[in-house]
Amino acid sequence: MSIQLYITRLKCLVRNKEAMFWCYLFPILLASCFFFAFNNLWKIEYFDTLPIAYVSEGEESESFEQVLEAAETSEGVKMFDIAYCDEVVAKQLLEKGDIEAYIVGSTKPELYVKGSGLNETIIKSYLDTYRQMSVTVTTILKSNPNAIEEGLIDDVMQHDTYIEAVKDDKKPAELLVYFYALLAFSCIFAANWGLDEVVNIQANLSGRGARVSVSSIPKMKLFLCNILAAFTAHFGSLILLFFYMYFIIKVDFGNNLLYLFAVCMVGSFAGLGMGAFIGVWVKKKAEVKEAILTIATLGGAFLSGMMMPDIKYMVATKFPLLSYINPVNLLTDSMYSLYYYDTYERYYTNTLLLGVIAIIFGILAIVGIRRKNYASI
Amino acid sequence: MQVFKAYYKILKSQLTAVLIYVALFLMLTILFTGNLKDNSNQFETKKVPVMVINEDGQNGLLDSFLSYLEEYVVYVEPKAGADAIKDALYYREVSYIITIPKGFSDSFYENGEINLTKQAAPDSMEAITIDQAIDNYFNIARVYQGHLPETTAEEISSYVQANLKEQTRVHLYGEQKDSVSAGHSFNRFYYNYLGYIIVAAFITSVSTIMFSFHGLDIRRRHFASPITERNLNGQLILANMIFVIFYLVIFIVAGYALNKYRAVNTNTLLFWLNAFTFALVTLSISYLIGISVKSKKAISALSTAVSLGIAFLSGMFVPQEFLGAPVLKVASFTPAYWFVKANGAIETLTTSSWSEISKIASFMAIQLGFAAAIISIALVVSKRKRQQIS
Repeated sequence: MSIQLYITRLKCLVRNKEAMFWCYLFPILLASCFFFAFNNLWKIEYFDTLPIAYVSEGEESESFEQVLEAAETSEGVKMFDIAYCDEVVAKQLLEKGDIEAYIVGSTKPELYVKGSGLNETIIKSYLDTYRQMSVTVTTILKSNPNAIEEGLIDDVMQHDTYIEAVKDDKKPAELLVYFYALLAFSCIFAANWGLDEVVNIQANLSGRGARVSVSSIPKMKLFLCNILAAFTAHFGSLILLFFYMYFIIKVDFGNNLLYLFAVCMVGSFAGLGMGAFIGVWVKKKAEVKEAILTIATLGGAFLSGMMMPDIKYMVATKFPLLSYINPVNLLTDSMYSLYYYDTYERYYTNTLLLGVIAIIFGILAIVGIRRKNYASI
Repeated sequence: MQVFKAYYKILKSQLTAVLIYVALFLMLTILFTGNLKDNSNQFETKKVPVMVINEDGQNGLLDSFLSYLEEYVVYVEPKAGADAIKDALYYREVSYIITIPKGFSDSFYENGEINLTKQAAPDSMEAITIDQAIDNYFNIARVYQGHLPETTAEEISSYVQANLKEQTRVHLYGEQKDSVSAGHSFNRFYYNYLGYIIVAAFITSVSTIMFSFHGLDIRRRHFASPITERNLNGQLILANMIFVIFYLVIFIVAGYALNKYRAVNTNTLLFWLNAFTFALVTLSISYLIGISVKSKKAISALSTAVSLGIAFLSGMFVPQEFLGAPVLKVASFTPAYWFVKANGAIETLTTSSWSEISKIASFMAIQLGFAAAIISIALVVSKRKRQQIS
């Protein structure tokens, strides 16, 4: 019987196209947007050769031209596509947008650009390095004229790296924070489903609630079956989102997948509990309940720093209690702690607190649901 | 003008949603522009809080390195214990931790293998700048060290610092006044974001209204009324246009008021014109959505999905130059891409020469082309709907 109830409720949920869209498709859409929009921010793989012009101004410029021609990115893409011309032509080319910039002079090259975007910055920093290195060479040659024979030029051209990330197998993952936030928000989105479950079962909230209230099924049993069905359907969306991020857009979540699943599961319950709690205890119209829920989840997300990272640190230092009772914050904290810490202490604290909150919400919701009798409604 | 009036009656029911978008957008704009520096043209490096854990002890090389780095960072007192260090990073007291391992200086002089290690917050954009600053210092120091072995660490440090001051002179073509170009960059930022708001708000409101007018019963009622089809559509178009213009005027006025470097010039006018063009395209999209969807709930889903999708892909949120080539290829099939591109071109427009303006005009023409294409699809859909029996 319970199984029948569970399956029926599951069918109801899956057939609700709107809820399915927000829960299943929307997070995936957002994840794709993050991926497409931010993925390149930290990479220079997609570098395209920049068209520039060079105006020698009659100076001896052969060596500088050679340097420009030889410039390559670390992936071996040629940096500049150079047109040699006089300043009038260069200006016209720049005006038309055929070139990104033009360079004048060779000993102290000057840069003429149209705007101040990324490409201009790349050209400028390349010229800066050239100038700095040529000053180095001049300074050294003054005191040590034999330096050229000692391999000065090769030394100058060589670029060593002196800093590396701590060796704990964690690649810097700038995007990870966004994906964690998305996952956390999807968890807490379960609140909408929790609200729905309560509305569907309470006689004073919906017609269907009134109908099931007169049926012979104990209310608690029905409620638990329904919540379980909602959890199944919602957790399915989390798994789908996770698989999409992990296998399709290849987000590197590290070696903590099981821990991540566990906190998602607790988070999903906390969301359901929160929704149910608001559904039972806010005695207002359905729209008002939904609005309160939205404010609660968005407010929680705001305080946990999803919109502005600084907020999180402000809350953590000024109102520490708030960060311990905000379910969204606990969710993101347990996820971030998987990334930042090698030990699981902080993860356990946060997840446990989240679990406690889920249980408190659940108990309060049940207290509100049980023992409601109506002679007439 | 019954249709016209009915339009605004339905619009009233969507007003909250539309106004929320207005309020949200203006709030965010004020928040963001409050953060912008007054002299937004001069690039100023923000100093990053950094913790240095020095296991190598003090010596000339490290002292001068650390004093050099002070140009880029603020030092935070190092903490004891691995957990306390991680906590500092976690709560963002610092965004970057440098560990100088034991034997680093000796290894540096002997071209050894020991490197500094870093831990950076995963979303810290400044980390790259610090990486570069560190590499620059040691690379130049290495060259001096190699070829002028008898110089002291202090001398090397002063050489390096003098070297790094060498900067390329950059001339901004057209020599715009700083305040003028700052005004343009504000406008570019403002109107790019506005594109997202236009899409989100228009689909929410206009689509809902069009949906209401295209219900089967409503259409049948219309056929039975003495108002001709042309009259009906005329009133709808007029109502839509007035809504678009009114909505845009709010934003144009707000954008003008919020802009610290406000000025009315060719560029500003072009920004307005471009926003209007894009609003027309969005109007056609909203119309198409309004007459094709089957339920009102689908509209709010589509409004969020379409607006966010378009905004992310076409460079409204992230500048186009940061997007990958394949993404841009796909994006160029959306009108928003050309809207953003036009805004970019308008920002850098310095002369009112025809060649430059014609380029911008072509971007707007492409947007209008999209509008025409979408309207033709909408007409087909609407024709089909008219022939539908139930």
